[in-house]
Amino acid sequence: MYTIEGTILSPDRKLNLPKSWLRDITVSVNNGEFKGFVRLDRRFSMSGVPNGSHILQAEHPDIYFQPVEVEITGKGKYRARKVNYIQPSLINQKPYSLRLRPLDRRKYLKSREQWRLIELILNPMVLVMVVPLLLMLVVLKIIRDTESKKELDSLRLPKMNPVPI
Amino acid sequence: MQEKWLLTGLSVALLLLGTCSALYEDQIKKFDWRGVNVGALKQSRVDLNHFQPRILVSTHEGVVASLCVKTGELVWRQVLEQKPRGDIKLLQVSGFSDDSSDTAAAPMGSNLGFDMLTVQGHAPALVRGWNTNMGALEWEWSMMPLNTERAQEALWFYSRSVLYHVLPAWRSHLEVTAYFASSGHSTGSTSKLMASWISPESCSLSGTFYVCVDGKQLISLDLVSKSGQVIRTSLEAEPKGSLKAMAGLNGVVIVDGNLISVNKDQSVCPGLQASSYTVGSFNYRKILAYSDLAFGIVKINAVYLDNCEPVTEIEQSLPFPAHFGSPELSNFDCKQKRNGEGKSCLFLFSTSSESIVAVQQGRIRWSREEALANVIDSQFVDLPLADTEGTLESEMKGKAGDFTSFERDIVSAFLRRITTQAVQIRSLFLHVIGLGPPPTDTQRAGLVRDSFGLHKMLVLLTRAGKIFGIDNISGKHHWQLYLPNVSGFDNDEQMRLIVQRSAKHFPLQPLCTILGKDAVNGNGVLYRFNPITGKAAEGGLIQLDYKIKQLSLLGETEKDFVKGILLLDSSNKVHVYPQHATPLADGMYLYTADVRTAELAGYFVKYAGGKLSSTHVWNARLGGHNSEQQIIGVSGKNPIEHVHSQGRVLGDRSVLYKYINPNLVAFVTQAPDATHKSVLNLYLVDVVSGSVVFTITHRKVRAPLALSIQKTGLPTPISMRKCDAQRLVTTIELYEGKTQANNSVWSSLQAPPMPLVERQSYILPTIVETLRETITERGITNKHVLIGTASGSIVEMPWHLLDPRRPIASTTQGREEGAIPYIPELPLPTESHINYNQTVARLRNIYTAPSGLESTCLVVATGLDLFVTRVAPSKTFDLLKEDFDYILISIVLVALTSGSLIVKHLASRKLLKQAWK
Repeated sequence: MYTIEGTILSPDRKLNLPKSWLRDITVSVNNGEFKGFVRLDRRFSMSGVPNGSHILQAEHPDIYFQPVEVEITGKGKYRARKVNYIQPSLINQKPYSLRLRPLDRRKYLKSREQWRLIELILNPMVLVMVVPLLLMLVVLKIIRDTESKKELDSLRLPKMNPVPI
Repeated sequence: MQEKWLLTGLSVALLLLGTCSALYEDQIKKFDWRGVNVGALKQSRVDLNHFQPRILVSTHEGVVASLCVKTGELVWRQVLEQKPRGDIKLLQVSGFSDDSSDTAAAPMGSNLGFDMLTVQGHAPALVRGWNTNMGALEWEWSMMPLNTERAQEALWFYSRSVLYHVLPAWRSHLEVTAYFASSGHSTGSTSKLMASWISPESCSLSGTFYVCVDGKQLISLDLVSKSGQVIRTSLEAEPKGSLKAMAGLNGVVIVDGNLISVNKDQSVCPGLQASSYTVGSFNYRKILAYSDLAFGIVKINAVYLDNCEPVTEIEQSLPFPAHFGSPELSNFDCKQKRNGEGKSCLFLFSTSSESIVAVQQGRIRWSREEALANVIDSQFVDLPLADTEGTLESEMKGKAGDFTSFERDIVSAFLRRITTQAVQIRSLFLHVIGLGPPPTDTQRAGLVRDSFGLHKMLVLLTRAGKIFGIDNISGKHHWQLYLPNVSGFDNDEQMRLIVQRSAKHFPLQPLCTILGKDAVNGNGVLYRFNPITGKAAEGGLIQLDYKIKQLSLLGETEKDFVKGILLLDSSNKVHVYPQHATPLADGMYLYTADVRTAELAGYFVKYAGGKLSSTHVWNARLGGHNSEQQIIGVSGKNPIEHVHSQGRVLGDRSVLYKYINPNLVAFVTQAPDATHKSVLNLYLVDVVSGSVVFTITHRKVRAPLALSIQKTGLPTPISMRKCDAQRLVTTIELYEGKTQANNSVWSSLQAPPMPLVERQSYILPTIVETLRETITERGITNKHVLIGTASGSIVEMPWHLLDPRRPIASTTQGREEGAIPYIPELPLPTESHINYNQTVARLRNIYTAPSGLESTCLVVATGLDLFVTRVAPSKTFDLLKEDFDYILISIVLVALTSGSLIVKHLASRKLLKQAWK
């Protein structure tokens, strides 16, 4: 009978975890047949595990940890590797004792699409429709302005000119 | 190779993204609720004088938890390992002055100190120290005994910061080993204490004393004292019951409700008689509290331990509801600030129906229903109709089937319609002016059917024999029932909950029945009740005079719409309950399966001359050549399931017909094997003819196994664990072929053709505890499979991902059929976890039921916790979206209508003007 030991690494600040998050982690092997609870110093140990290959998973309802395959040989040597179900022969060693990193928050929920004016405006469809329209209006105005100026100018010019005597 | 998988994986992920039915953020707890349980109480500590008043408990389910004193809610909970490893042997809380053996606990904060320690399991035994404020682990050590088999009977006790392990060798000696509690270092060698008088059934450990009954005397031994002197205490009479240790008093045992001390340093008050005792302190003096139940009233009394005078301040009595069963005083504590008042004492009871009840000031402060930690059967029952709708319904039903008299009835039908509508108008009027009839109890409780049939009564049967009626939307417990002395059947079969009459037959009330075994004589017991009110109906509890071996449900009778129950007794005679349904049992087939010997037997039931008889028609032995195989799983089809499509259209536009055999049952057997560790066989057996339709063998596989079987073409997902690392899901689909032998009726007796078998195995990145397919009213909605994982999540998996016809090579035919290319590993995206972060601890079973809406399926997941929700496999196509903007739509409508009216008016004015010009 052997003891698997490891540490839970400290989480990223971005994960924004409550204080009690360590309490909610259980490290389990084989469907909760063997369990480890995390101590306040982030260490865990799991005693009375027979030799063989075990998949160890740290479980937390909100945070995802990568499972690790722990192999204990008959002589009591430990090896840890990345779990690969499809090609078990492919070995990707990991250091032992285990260091489990809280990877990211599990995203269970979709956020509701909200009706926002900016999003609506930045929508490509809207852009395609609205931008040429605006351009057209602006251009028209510019053209009109220049034309009217010209008209004005042509009107004013004779007025402004002093009558040559 | 890997790139290819990556690519296909990506495509599947994309496909899933398209079909994923994740909840929206605002839908949390809108359709679902979770009940969190700890299990039946084992040991408890009420602590009101801590800076944070709490109740620390350990339970029979292997859970340690802290409860809030005021409400009974969980402050924290730690679910330990499964049994036998998680079986809690000892809970020791430090800092309790009432514990004589606890005076030398090391100070808090030091390395040797502990808040609370638990000892669990036997091989290895795990000792864990917990921080009681946070519920976090502080330290842990384990001990592996030399003889693991004998270690099962080991006992533990704690005395002066030393933990003792007591290993009895029956009729010989006791081995006592001492360990420092928080480090696990042995204090010395194991001492052997000669004790030839110990036997398994008559001994108990009370504090440091090992006490045994020997005829009219008690023989005991102080395991801590160095002298090792055997103490003999004589009794007045030979004890009838077994010996119980009195917690908190060193060397005191309870014999038939009396306290007897074998420790000369510990005196007890003579003449006390009660069903349960506990020790605590009141006004800084140690007192002994005891309680008794008589005629539905619980009495709590107490005496001071030093002078045996009664503590009058604490005495109280209160009525105790019958559904709690018989109470046992577990622990109590009093606030020490208020001198001389007994009002601040909180008494904690554990009851025979596995409830935890807190009593304060002569009334029940709160209670927890821990029987719900072991739900064994569940049914969703329709709520009754509102009265007015009911009369309408009964009219519509009328005599619709009776076409000959239809013409004659047309006038009376018209009259009836007119009168019902008049009644409706009158009741509406009366209701408006406030003179209507008072609402019935069920209506007042809000138990009226909604228009979509989503609101139902969830009836849950628990292992303790307690039955609950729970609102599936609010989670409110509407009623509870307790059946003492009723237990599960032999052959590992649990009690059954059967709906004999649904709520569809207004004005007849729905009827449920519980079938079980009498715990005393082993005969069958029936309990019939109304699932809406929880009251006994049509006879209530019925004791049968035979043992039930198998049961089956018959069709509805015409008289009272009750589905009869067909029972096969241990001497292979058949009975029908209720008796007037007996003719319906004619021509029924029954089968039995013995779990241990893996023997199946089939019976034919005949009704002739007013008598029922059964004939043994077939036998099958699945035990293997050396009868090692044992049945570990049986699964039949769901009788309420509809077959929506008879076949499957292939790429070349031909139809592959499904093998729709309603009589198919899957049996899974398992046996250890020398070369392959363990061999698992699956048999699909036609239980009418007894023919084995299909078998499959898996080597190097072991439980946990989950099995689910569907009527539609019978796809059977099975999940199991291969070797140590891989977790498999195998699906099997049976097809009849391109032609159907008989497309109207299925007969198992006319030698139906052997089916074509499609099968496929997939790897799942998790351990599956249970599988269940969704079910809807008409079976048109897509099938999804609900996968309950060991970590307590419920994942909704579309059936087309488990499809055994997923082609390995991407062929045009597969694409035409709409099958996704095969990849070995199935993804479990977090979006399809229907219980998001509300995990169900020790998930054991998922039950599904159709709702009134075709799109929606009701789900309840049971384990230590309870989770109720609904799923919509094809999304809610028959329901308006939740975020449907009623206001916008009505504004637009109003604006358009008014706009068109105004424009019409303007246009007519313009026309008029033009005409005048």
